[in-house]
This record gives sequence, structure tokens and C-alpha cells, in this order.
Amino acid sequence: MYCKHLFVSVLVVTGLMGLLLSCVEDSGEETQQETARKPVLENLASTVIIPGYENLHAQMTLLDQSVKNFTSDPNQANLEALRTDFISTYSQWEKVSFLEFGPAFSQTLRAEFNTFPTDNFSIDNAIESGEFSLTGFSTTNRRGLPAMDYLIYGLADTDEEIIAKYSIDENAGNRKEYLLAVSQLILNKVDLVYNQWLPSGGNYQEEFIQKDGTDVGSSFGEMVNALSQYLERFSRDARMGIPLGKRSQGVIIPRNVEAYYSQQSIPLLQAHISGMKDFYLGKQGNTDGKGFYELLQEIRAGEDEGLADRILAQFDLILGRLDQVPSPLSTTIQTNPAPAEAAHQELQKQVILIKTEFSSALGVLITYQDNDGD
Amino acid sequence: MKKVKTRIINGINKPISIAPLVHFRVLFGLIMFISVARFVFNGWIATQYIEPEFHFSYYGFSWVSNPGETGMYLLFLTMALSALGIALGYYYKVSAVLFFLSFTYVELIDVTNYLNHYYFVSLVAFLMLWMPAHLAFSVDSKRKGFTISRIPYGYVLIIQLLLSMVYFYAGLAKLNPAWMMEALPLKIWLPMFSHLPLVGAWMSELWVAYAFSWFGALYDLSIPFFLFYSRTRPYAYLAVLVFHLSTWLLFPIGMFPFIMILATTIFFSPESHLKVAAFIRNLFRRKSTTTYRSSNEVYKAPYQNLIWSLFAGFLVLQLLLPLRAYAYPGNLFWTEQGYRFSWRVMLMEKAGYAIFHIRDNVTGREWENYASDYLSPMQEKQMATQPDLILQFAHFLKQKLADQGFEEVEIRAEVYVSLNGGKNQLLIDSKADLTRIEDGFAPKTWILPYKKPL
Repeated sequence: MYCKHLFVSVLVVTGLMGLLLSCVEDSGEETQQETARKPVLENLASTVIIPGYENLHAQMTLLDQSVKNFTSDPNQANLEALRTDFISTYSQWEKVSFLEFGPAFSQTLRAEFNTFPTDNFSIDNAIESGEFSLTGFSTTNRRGLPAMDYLIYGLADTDEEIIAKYSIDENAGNRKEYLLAVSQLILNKVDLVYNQWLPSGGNYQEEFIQKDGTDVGSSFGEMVNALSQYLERFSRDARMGIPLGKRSQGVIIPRNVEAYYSQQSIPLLQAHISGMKDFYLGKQGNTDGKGFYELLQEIRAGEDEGLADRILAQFDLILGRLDQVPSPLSTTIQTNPAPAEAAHQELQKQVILIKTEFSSALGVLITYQDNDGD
Repeated sequence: MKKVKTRIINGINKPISIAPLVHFRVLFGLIMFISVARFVFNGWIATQYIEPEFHFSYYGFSWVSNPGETGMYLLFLTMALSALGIALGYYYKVSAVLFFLSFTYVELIDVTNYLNHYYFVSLVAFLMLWMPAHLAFSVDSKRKGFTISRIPYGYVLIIQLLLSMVYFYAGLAKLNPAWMMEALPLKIWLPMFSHLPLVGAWMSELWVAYAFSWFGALYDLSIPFFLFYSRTRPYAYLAVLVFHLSTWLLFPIGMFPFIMILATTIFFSPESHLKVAAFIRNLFRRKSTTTYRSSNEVYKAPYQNLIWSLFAGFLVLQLLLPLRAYAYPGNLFWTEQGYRFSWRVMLMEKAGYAIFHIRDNVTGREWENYASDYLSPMQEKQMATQPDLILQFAHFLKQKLADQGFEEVEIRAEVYVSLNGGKNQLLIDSKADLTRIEDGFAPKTWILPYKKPL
């Protein structure tokens, strides 16, 4: 009797599980339902991420040309042109800096582009000795945009002296070579990452859109984890908290601000936050598609806490506070830290929103580890 | 009254075939071996025990320390080998003791690794120490020529009762307003599966979340009874399979579904177990040898009543432990006082973020510290939502700072927590200097009350 029951039971269950399993593993195009998340991935890739890298790639190409112009003919006009391109490139970098997933993650794009503070002493030593190897992870604080920031703004107090460093200085040749190498390296990197996203290149775009779950390896899992980590470590800490002494027993470190030599810390941080806001909105220029903002409005059933709008409002609060921080940030921190502290506070609030409600609402996992469901 | 007592004692001592217990032993040993192997091959020894520089200890168990890389691997080797020993019935008693000790020790190293099913495994492993589960179908019985094939029902009953309590308390915990009336947290979790074909379209439907919630509660509360009652048992077991396999497909709960699916086979009658055994023997065409001898000798432990008393005490403790939560004031999900060891699974979505404010009383300087500098992402996530762990971390920070020469510091924690996707709010008093607070069983007055969103 039991055996018979058991046999029938096992048969039915096997059938049911087989059905369910086949559903889970079947990712055929025909059966794939259009879901809330997929359009967001499509829009983020085509409107924000790829155009973002495309712009950075274009800017970086211009910057590299300006570097070549300046090194072949170091004069005031070429220096100014170089600086203009440098700031445009840095601003564009800010808008894609937090996309630390996929190709940018595997190419360690952040470390290559923007490891700061830069090690100006090692740069000087390398130029003097003429022996500089700029490969390997340990040299990231001698290259990237922060190194260029030093090389075109920080070598001396006046422009004439800086130009002299590239023309009449005994190490001018090495210095030119160094600047060219730094520029070439990041141009190569952005070229790699950009091409890996393109359908004609590595076509990461397709993989990105396919991985529309919420587990650890999914695009949402990677984006949310990258965003919350970046916001915490690099937006809040590196750009604000560390110079303010938040992570150094209360001792301020003004020299650790981003773009210390060009004194562009605040405009760059503003570009960074507005870039993040656009990413959140799924927006680029006048094209506004589906982003996290729209997703949060769709997926939160019932009791809407207005999370989508609260995160958006928090981005604006940060930007508003940054408007009130006088440049250069390195001086403000020493003479009048209150506005910088206030901006730090607003950044902190965004970290809290992203780490608590945002992560909960999207239900992404942080590790593969088993869990009890809290 | 006396009649009841006699009936209970007779029931416990009623001889039954040893088959259900032996099968339980083999299945438990095997699934434990698989679990341990899976843990090792996933590289979790490194991420959970070797990489973190700090471990959160259980109250009263701070003496349990991480034995280092070699020690950890040895512990897991012991676990794997003793699990095999249990399955094979090879030096069974020694294996059972080693498995219980090594498994429980590893679980005691870090609270943030706590999982209800690890706790369940520890409890079962403890019970297995006292079981005559190796008297048949084992290397030991071959070696020593055991002839016993019948045991008192009490040995099987205690496992059945423990399983029943796991389900029943899990069901009882679901009878709360959020789970029943708002379908939380399933309402938040299920839409994550909207990308699945076929079933995906339903996952965003609100009624599905309610159906899952109510079915889950009903299942947990009723399944023990349906498993005990012989006429409903086959259907109940079907429900066990469907329930656990679907939770396995949807949620990252590891080996738990399989452990429960295998463990609940102990509810089947000895006759069914014998039939299955005969069926499997036939598959291997071994008609000549019999696994279970048909002798009528009943196993009796040297101090049988002492073992029954131990089991009775175990059951009373298990019955009472989950109830301790009701002795604490406030919202249990918020304070988590008395939350562990109570079969509360999949009950809430909780996420937090902790900022530790340090003040050096010597210089008057103030700065911040973040858990991510010292903890693994998993540890950080667990710590940020559980007050006792926040306190432990603050004390760890105090020690760290003292090592750096900051002898007189105050540490305050600004901890924001979102419960079931609600607006985040402060979990603990952000003005309380945590260096002056000690952990204990008394209600934690520094936990702020949960404000229900309007």
C-alpha cells in the first residue's frame, strides 16, 4: 500500500520538479517574458554606459593629441589647450567612474585612471633617473589622470616655469616621455573597455542584458554592489571624508583631495554626482529612458515609501551642498570646513539609503553564501 | 494520571524494527558528508574562517577561537571523515562524538555564520551520540556480529518530535501581522524571480505572495501532524518534497531542503522502511543476505532510563528556548533579542548600515570608522542589523584603538536599518557610548523602539 502511494507520489513530484526545473533553466528567446528589469538593462547599456565610454574615448583621444602637441612644442597656447582637454576628460571620467563591473572591473579601469593622491615624489624620481616602468598594479599611483594633474599643473608655481620643465630643463626629454606614456596608457585602457562593450567588439552589452536576474553574478547584482561600494569608498571617503580627516583620527589631509594641483575637486565631484544621478535615472543628455528610478517605482508593490524620489532628492541635496563649497577644496578644508562637512553629511545619507532601502528593494545578494533569509 | 504515564512509558519502550533509525543514520551521514564537501569546494573555509580578522562570538563562548588555517582544514577533515563514519557505521560512536564536536565547534566560531539548519544539524548530531544506530547495516555490526534488529520506539520518536518542533515553531513564527496580513517579506522577494520564464509572470503578482505566505504558514503548522498520521503520510511527504524543492529553487538556503527531505523519511513506518530496504536489495540482486535479521531481541542501553531522562530534558529545553523571545519587550524582528535558536527562517528582509563615531577623550578629536575595513561583506551585513553584534564590534574597535595608542575613547554607533523594505530608522541609541555597555541576557535598553511607518 505504502509502496504504491510512495511510488505515485515520487512520480508526481518528479514530474512537477522536472517541469519547474525546465522553466528555470530554459532561457530560450520565445519563452522569455518581457520583465521590469530587462528594459532597464537595455536602456542603461545603450543610453548611459556605452555613450559614456564613447564620450570618454573621444575626449581621451583629443587629450592624447593635445599631449602630443604640447610635448612636441611646449608653449603657453599648447599648455592651455592641453589643460582644457584634461578637464573635459576628467569630467567625463567622473560620469563613468562608478561603473565598476564587466569590462571596467576586469580591466581595473578605476585604478588605472584615477588613483589619487598621486605619488609626485616617485614621479620626479622616475623622470630624473629616466628609468620608469609604468606597468603593474603597484605603479597606479604614478600614472592616470592624477599623475597628469601633477605633470601639467603641479610642477611649478607659474606656467612659464612649467613650460620650462618641458623645454629647457635638463630632464625635459624624460618628462615629455613620461607624460606621453601616461596619456597613452589610459587611452589604451579606455579603448579596450569601450570596445569590449560594443557589439562589434567584445559585445559585453549582450551579456549584460542577458544576465537579468538578481543573484551575485547578475548585472543588477554587480551594478548595485558596485554602486554602493563606490559611493562609500570613493565618492564619500576618497573625495571628501579622507581629506576631512574622517578616516585618519580626525587629522585633516588636504593634499588628498581629488585633482589637488588643478584645484578642480569640487567641479569634478559635481560632475561625478550628476553622472551618478543620470545613471540612476537612465538618462543621458536629452534622452531619458528607464533606469533604477523607474524600476523602483515599478517593483515596490503596495506601501510605497517614495524611495525612488527620496534617492533622487538626495542626489540633488548633495549637488546643492557642493554648490556652497568654495574651491579649492584643499583650502576650504583648512580654513572653513563647515560647508565641506555638510556635503559629506549628505553623501553619507545617500550611502545609507543605498545600503539599506535600495538594496532591500532590489533584493540583490552580496555573496554566494547560504542564508537563512535574515 | 498514572495511566497516562504508563502509556507513555510503554509507548517509548515499544519495540520496533531498527530499520528507520538505521536509514536515518545512513542518510544523515551521507548528506552531512556532501554538505561538508560542498562547503570546502565553495571555498567558504577561506572566506568565512580564514580571511576575516575578527569573529563574532556567542555569548559565553568567547573561548571558542579560530584554530587558524591548518586547524580549520583539520576540523573540516574530521567532520567529513566522521560523517562518512556515521553513514557507514564504522566506529560509529567515535564518529558520532567527533562529528558533533567538530561541527558544533566550527559553528561556534562566528555568530554571523549562524543558520538555523546548522543548529538543527548540531542538535541531531548530539542525539545521534546516544543512538544504537549502528547495530544493523553497518561495518560495526559486520565486524562484531550484532544480532539485534529491534529497538525501543523512543529513539525514533525523539527525532520525529524534534522535526515536528522545527516545523511547528517555524509556522508559529509566521503567524505575525507582517507575514500574514502584508505578505512581507515575500512580497519583496518574489518579484526578483520575474525574469524566470513561465512562472516569472506570476512572481510580481501580489496574490502569489499572499498565497505563498499563507501556504507556508499552514504547511509548517500542520505538516508534523500529517506526517505522524499514517493515512495522510504519503501525501504529507509529497508536500514536503514540493515545499522544500521549491524553496531550494527560489532561495539561497543551501542544503537545508535536502536535509529536511531526507530527515522526514523517519516518519515512515518500520514496515515501509523494511519494504524499501528489500526493494533496494532486489535492485542489487542480493536475495541471499538480509540486512535486518528477524531476531526478537530488543536493544536496551545499560542505563536506558537515564537516556530517556536526557531525551526528555532535551525536548523540554527545545520546547522552551523559542519562547524566550516573548520575555523581551519590543518588536522581535527589530531587536532580535531571543531570535536565534528558534526556527525563525525566511521571516524578514533586513538591511542596515553602521557608522561608528570615535571620540578620543585625550585630544578631543573625532572621527569615523566603518565595519567594511575589518569585516567580510557577509559579516558586515549581519552585524549592521543585530544589536548584540554591533556591541561586540564596538568592543573590538575599542581594543584595536587601544593597540594604536588611543586608550580613552568613546564609541557611538549610528546604525540605520530598513525592516521589510520600510523607511530606514535608527536601530540603537546613537548617543550611547558602547564602550561602557556590556552584553547580557537583560533587555537591551539602548535599542530604540521600532516606529511603525504610517
